[in-house]
Amino acid sequence: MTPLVLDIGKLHPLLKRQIFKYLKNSDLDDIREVDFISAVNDSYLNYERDKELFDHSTQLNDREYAEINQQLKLEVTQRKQSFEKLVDAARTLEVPVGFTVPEFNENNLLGLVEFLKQQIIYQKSIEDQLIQAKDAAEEATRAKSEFLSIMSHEIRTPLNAIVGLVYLMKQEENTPVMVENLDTLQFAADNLYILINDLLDFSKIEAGKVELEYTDFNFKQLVHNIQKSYQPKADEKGYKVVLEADERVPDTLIGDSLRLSQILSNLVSNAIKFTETGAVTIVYKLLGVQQEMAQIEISILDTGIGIAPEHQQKIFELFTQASSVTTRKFGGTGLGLVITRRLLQLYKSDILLESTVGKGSRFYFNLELEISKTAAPMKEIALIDAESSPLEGVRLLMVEDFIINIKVASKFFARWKIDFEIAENGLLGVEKARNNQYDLILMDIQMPEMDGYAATQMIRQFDPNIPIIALTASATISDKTKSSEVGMNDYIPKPFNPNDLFTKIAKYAGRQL
Amino acid sequence: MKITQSFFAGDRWHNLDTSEGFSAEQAQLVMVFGERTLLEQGHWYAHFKETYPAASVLLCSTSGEIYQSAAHEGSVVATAIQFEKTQIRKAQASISNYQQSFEAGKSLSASLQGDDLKMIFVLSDGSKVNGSDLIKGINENLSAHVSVSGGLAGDAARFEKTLVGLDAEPTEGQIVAIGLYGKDLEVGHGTMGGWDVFGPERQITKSSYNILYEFGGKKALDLYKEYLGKYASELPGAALLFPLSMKISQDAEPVVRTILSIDENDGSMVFAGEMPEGAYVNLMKANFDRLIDAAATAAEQTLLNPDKKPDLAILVSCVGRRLALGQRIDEEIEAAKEIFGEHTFMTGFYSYGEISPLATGKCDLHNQTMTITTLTESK
Repeated sequence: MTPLVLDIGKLHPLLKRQIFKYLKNSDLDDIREVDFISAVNDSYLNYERDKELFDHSTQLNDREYAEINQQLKLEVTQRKQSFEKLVDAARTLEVPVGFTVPEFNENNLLGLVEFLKQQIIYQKSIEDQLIQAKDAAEEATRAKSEFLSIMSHEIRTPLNAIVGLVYLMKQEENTPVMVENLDTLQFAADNLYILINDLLDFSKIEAGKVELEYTDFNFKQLVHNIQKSYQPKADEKGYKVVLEADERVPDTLIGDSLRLSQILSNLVSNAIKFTETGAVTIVYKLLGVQQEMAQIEISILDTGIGIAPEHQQKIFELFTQASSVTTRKFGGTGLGLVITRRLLQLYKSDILLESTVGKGSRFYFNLELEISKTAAPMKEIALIDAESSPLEGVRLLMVEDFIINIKVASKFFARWKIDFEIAENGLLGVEKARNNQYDLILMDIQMPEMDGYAATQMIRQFDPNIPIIALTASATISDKTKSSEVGMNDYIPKPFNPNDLFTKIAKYAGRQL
Repeated sequence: MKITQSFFAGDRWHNLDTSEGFSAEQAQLVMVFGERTLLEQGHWYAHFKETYPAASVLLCSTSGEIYQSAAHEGSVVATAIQFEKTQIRKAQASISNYQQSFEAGKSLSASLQGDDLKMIFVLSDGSKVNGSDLIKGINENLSAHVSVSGGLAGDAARFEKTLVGLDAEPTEGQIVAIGLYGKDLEVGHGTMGGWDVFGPERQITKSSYNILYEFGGKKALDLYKEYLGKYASELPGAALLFPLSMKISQDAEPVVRTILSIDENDGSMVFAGEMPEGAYVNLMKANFDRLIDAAATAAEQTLLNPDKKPDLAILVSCVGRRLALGQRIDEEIEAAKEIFGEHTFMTGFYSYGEISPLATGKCDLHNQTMTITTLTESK
């Protein structure tokens, strides 16, 4: 081993002192070459380093433990506060009979937890009961709406025949007595029809099943049509339905045109019903436009019997008219205004009333409708009984099982010069659709052998494009949704409005009106 | 077992000691440990092939050679063994990258399998091989009663390249293994570090194989510097003096991991072995007395019977110990020598990683330990 050369300056200070103290001066020269001193010095330095590292890490540990301690103290405090809050909360709980309330203190955490556990079990049992009750109620509602749906179908199907055949009979040459009888029959059938629709509507609204559509429609045209369609009724009484339009209202608005015309029809027909002389006036005014929303006020004024102040709120209640005398004299169910109000509530609006007995009434409401950015939709064209029918030569298949419905529709189709065929059930309908060329198909929904949904799905497998229009007596929203799901293009509720039927056939057969 | 030992220093060979009746022609195994640059200069294998024509020759570069109860540098030490009953077989694998380590280990132990296989002695490249994977691969095929020991070749404190050879001049990327067979061979193992842990135990929170990014939720290098205090300025040079104690789970045996390099940019540290996330680690520091005592303890662990001293003791100690103990490094060899006594031949080297079974269980890669393997043939 090579001897190490010691640098005295690099000796550990303590060792240096000891060397100078205990060794003779003469030894010092030798020290530079003494491995022994070097080994001892290494040991001294190592111990020094060891001690420093240890002291340093002890300091760090102390600091770390202080932090941990602080953290623990904080946690203990938080735990204490949490416990107190928990106890406060536990004390507010209602204690059911038979519960033992333990002593709440920090040493009895288990007791508190057990108490809360029992409370949760208790609350859970109450919740279960509530869920059961809710399920039962929902089941009852479902059964009710199902019942209504079935009943409406059962009633509408024969009614469809009555309405349709009366319409056709009135086109024929009749004796005056026959004309009068037919008028009465039509009046009764119409009333029954309105009643069924009202009942169905009401039950749908009650079940929360009515949602507004938001599509473009021509507001002015819609009101104009209402005015025109009620004029014949007013004519019977010898007065006019007057329209005071505000031209500033934008042409095309976004909303549910079907529901809006329902609201207006209700109010206008009411007004005519209770007015013998004078006029019924429809007024709409643009109140303003804010952020692409048009604010419109619509009023229906009449010069009828009026409503006494004490009855003014009652008429909006279910199955209530102003007085029992009114009911006897004018008929009706009292559903119309309730439905009108509920529909307006969907628009976040409400119906208001000003009335003086003997002078007349004013029903009015505000609507806020978004202004459409697209062009106005095509004008509705009412056309029946034209000399040369625009539907001439349209190839149409009607799938329908009910013989009276077939008869009614057949007469219209013949009148419109449509080239049509009939299939008595879904299965036959699919066969005919497979083997023949048609421009469109009218499809009943409820049929023996195969219903209209199944038939449509089968037809769609080999002909994805042919227009299929559902023609059904079950006029519920869910039917409408389902019909589009299976691939139907449109929907006409029965008893159909001939005008509507004509327009839809024209539209899907691609005929210009 | 008959042995002869010699060393090469100052440009010539020096004979150390020779058992009575040793025959160079009948020697089966020669272990050669030498300084890397010196190994690169000579035709060492040719020399031994001529001297011991029947023997398998293992050559391995070092961070210091062990003979004459002392640590040496710039020399070569050769130990030729003539077994009386024990059979030997050899196996070799060479790899070019870390990823091949596991497969290399597997193939080595597979080719050495045998009914009376007693132990495998492995010498591996110390810079291209993933020691942890290599040992996992070796263990894969072995039954529990076969022990494995050895070490990773060293390169002084340079960490440039390491050399290993089997019956050829030593080169990089080599792993060689000798299987020892027969029931007359007794094998002893001892491993001890003697480093002191300090500071609290922490869990590894972010790592990638042998790169440690975070432990205890803090950047590894930051935490190191915090605990080293004024000695932090000695990094990275002093890294070998502050290894980490690492255990896979709370009740696992701890192993020591040496720092190979540090990255000041991202605060990460590279260690000489796997540092899995979730493992528990402690900082360590050197206490000279305990390091030296540990060498004695490792020697004692090898003795099954305190009165029966082994024929040969192979000491594989860590380069980190050498750097820590400095001039006093000889004392750890002397401490082992005191246990074995005059009649046991001692050889060995300072390495980049020690391979040894722990007191219980399979063999593992260690750092910073004195690892001793003893061989005795019953007479």
